[in-house]
Amino acid sequence: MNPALSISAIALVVLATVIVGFFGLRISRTTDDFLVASRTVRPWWNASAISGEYLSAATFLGLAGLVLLSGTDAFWFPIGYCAGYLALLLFVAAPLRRSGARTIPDFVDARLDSPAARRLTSVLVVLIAWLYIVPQFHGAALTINVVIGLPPWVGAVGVAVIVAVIVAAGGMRSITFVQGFHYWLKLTALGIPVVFLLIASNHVPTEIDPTLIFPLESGPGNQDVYRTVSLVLALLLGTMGLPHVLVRFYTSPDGGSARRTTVIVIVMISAFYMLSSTMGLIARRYAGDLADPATADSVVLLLPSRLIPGLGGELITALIIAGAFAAFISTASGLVVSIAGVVSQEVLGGGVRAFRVAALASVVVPLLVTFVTAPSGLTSSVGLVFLVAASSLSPVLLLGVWWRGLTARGAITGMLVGSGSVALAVIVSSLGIVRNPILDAALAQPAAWIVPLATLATILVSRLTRRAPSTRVDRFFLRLHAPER
Amino acid sequence: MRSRRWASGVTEPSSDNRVPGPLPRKRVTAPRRQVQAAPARASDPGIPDASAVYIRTLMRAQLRLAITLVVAFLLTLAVCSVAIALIPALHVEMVFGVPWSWALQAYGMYPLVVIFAVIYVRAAGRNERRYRSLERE
Repeated sequence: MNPALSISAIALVVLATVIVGFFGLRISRTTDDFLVASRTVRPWWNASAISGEYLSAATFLGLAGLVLLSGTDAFWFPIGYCAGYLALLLFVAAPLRRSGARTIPDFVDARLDSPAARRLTSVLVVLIAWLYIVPQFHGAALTINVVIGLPPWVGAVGVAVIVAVIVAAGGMRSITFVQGFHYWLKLTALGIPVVFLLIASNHVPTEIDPTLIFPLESGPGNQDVYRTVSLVLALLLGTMGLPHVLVRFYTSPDGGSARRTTVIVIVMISAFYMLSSTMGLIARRYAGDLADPATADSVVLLLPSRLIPGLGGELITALIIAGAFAAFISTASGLVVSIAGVVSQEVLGGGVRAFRVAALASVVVPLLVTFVTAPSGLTSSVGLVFLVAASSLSPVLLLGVWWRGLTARGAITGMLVGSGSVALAVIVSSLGIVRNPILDAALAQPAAWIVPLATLATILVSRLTRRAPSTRVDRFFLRLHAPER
Repeated sequence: MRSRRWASGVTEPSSDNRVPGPLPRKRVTAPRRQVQAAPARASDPGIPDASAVYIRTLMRAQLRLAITLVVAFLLTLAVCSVAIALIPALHVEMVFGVPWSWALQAYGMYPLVVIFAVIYVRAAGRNERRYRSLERE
């Protein structure tokens, strides 16, 4: 590993990010510019930005590591992330865009006219974003540690500082530019190495029996049906509940373009996931010795120098490092924008200055959490974020868009039941006191029972607190569902 | 757009030509609540009956479409996974050094997502065009 090359790769990404961010800054001066890019972003560019923000450390580094560790089970994560956009497209993309709300709490407030529901949604949005930022910092810490040998905290603090500065300086408009650029950077930084590794692998003879590299027991024939179904449900519904994903749709000019943008996003992230999966398959063949929970997430960083000796391998590693940092920076900054928007409006009273203060504050908490938690697998810790979003926010969003009968009390109950059940399941599961295999699976992958439970609670309490039909809700539904002229 | 030119300090010729030099900068702040809910008053005339019927019809059509497609998608996904898991030849035959079952699991599902997404966008657009032509009448 060549530290000089690695450091220059990271420096180049940061420099490019700052330049692109500054280019955006010159035309971003109002609150509208800061928060939603004035709703003028074109579908292709917006789709690049959404994809750039969505593809995080989990799929850039984590997926190959998980394929190496557990086999084809791992492929369900990217399939679920991708299908999550399908669910978002089918149920909420156009209506949420038409609602005119900027953040999820804005939407909930406009729909239910309830400050309490708004506050609870804000708390959940901030919690979900923090949970999601932590693995990005862990990924940065791991990369810096593996490739340069510096202590892990250097990477986490470095990315935190970069993100805080970029977001506070430019807001959403420059973030849109930065993230559109980061999608193409990430695709290149994974695509070129995959091509070279495939070419190189033709020249490296392997005498290993393919049934050892791709054993039946790690293949599709040996998957746990309940766990797979529950995981796919969490990922399918989780995407629409992620705070930084929804805020992006407000930058589309109308509902129809929000839909077209989503289709382009699906194509873009699919292309990336196929590359990332290929990296996992290559890893199984040439890096079987790294198949250990402690080292698996670093396999993408270590693979090139194994297959391509000398400067070529080092250059390709540097490219991968550049892409990985783009992943950490873009996902973390998208999340910080989304919580900074919520916090600045809720707590600090809105305005550009409040947004900047909120952005700085939004970085510090996850950074502290990064220091006190041990890194677990990147992909599974991001899976947890989707689970929380799917259980708490998604049922309320879905019912809010499609069911007139939803009431504020129903929504609050649903969000509390959903998030409370996830917390309970995660805590009990991590204590390791459950011996019953069925119960253990239900706690480890709880979406299959928590999502229906939260939805049911929302509907029941809404029924009990039903009010007379109001024209306010009728008008709101007309706005959500009627196409623009 | 206008505020952008203002804020970047570009001098705009004012209509009455009395203000020399750059215009004063204006701080633009966000109102706390972005989405103003329509006020519900007793005298609220509400939405015209015909419009209300059209929008309900559109909503029902869109929801039916979305549910049909998500169910069809999940069924397709399930059938494909079961097929990949249960056809023995897929575990034995290799493609580029990888068993077919692994390759299909790794790459095969994404085209399904894209196909369903495209079908939805077309059908949803068709529903909205029908709604627009009803509204115009």
